[in-house]
Amino acid sequence: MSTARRRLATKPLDPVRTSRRSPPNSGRRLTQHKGRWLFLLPSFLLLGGFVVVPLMLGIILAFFQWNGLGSATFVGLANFVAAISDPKFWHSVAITLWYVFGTTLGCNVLGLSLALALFTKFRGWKIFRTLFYLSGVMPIVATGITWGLIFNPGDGLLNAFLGAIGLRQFEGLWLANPHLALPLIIFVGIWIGVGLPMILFSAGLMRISPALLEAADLDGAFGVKRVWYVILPLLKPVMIVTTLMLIISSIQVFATVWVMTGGGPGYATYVLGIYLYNTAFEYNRFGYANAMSVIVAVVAGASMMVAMKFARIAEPG
Amino acid sequence: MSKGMSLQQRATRLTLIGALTIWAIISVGPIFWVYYSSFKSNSQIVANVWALPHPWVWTNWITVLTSAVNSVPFLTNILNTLIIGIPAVTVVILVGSLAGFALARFRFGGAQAFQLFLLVLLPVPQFAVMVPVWSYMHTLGLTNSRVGLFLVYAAFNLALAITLMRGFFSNFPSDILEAALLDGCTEWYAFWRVVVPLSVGPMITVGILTFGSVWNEFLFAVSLIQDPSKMTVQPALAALSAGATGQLTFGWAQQFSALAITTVIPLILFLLFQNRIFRAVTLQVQE
Repeated sequence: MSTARRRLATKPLDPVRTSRRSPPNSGRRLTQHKGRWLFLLPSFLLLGGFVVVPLMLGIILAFFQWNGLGSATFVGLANFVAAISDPKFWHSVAITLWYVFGTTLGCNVLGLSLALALFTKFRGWKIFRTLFYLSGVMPIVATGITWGLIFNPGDGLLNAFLGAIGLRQFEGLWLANPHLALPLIIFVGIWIGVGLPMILFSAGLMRISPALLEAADLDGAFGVKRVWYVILPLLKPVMIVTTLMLIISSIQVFATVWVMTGGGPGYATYVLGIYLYNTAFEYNRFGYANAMSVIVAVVAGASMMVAMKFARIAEPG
Repeated sequence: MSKGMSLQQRATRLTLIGALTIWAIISVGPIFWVYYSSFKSNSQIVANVWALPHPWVWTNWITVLTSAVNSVPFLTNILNTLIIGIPAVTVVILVGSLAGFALARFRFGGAQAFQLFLLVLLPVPQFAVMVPVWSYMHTLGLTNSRVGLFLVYAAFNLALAITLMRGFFSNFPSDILEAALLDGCTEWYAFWRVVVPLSVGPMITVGILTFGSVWNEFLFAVSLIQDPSKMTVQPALAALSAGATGQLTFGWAQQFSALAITTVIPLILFLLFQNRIFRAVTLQVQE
């Protein structure tokens, strides 16, 4: 292959493609390709040694009874059978799904609203964008503790504030109220997560051609109408992406619950992460915890892969 | 600017800015509250939990950093995170760049399988790998060990780094690389001498994102390390408070100070590298 043609290439050139087309006797090329495996070796070692092997060990241990200290006893499918008939497991699945649903919906709606508001480009909109993103910058543990202090039924900020402005009758137990605990934790999840969809919706809005919006204006589509009939359909691909990302990130919920309620009151906020942690590290049932981990990992991974596949088909282009 | 506006438009605009201001207060207010409360004394906080400090107390941060809270000073926990995090970030940047470059530039058998593997890792919740990882690290004798946590952090932050670097390298100007290869460099040499110096920007982005995730990491840290002297920042912070009951194991002022200190590093990183982070986030989505 000539140098001239190589220069003409507009797409980033793949050196391999080059070498494939070059005559097999080009020895210089061969020496250049020596050591290619070195590029991937460190990744294989790290991912293999500390991701793949642990996961395989987890799958194996799922068939054993193990208290984390002594030797493990093979129990076949008993752990899986136990998980499927464990009401606590299904309860924590349900709580987790409620959290995922609430957080994903809330972040999408609020993120889109904020992005639309910022899109009017009023003076100082960039400052507002930074302010809105800040809530996601605070470490999650710190966020949980802070909101725990705000919603503290004793002398928390919210009750103190309500008392000070003469609304003492609205003071509540907040996180200690079994009906409010999960909604409040979802609210904190939205507070943490809203920045990302806001940024993505903003970027999506910037890509809509101004001419199109002007045309819509002339056709009498402005305000809410314009958002509903013109902007939302154009933002659909972005919304698919934010929804997938929000599901993936919100299903991780662990630290906020840990520091805010510990899963309570009762089992009102007993998310899967907390149940898995307790099963392993409080009750020392490592085999059972591994079995539940395998179920969760496989179901979550597989359903998200399917969702991503559908999303890619749904996305034009 | 507002000359051509009708009354109705002006009213809409005012409502809009009003609504935005309310969310801005909800969004930043709690952070602001944590910071000014960290400059109040315990008795000031108990007297009025939302008032500004009067007088300002400047010693809380130092107290919480230096005096033993959970049997070790909070500074030890911060140092632990740095001892684990800085090497982890370095490894993630280098290893991630190498693999990202290979995936973007070389064609080799199994490349697709490797990328699929990285993609499959993404939606698996971290708590679902917590127990398997603990079981494995326990078998290797690497629980309660900073080396163990470093290895876990390096491995679990790699997928994102590879994805981001691959995205960057597939747009890397070919003629520069070609010129280096034509001069007779090996690909390995060209990578270190030509590609790396031109890729400092994206490497910094990967570094910031990775450091942010290590600094915030709680799940692996709390499951793998029990020894307070080896504990990292977030579990130590969680141990400072006993959760919703509000039964603080430590004074209010120190509690707020620990929160403020933990938040200060991500806050500074974000304010410094805002645009870089926004760009990386937007790019990541296109993958």
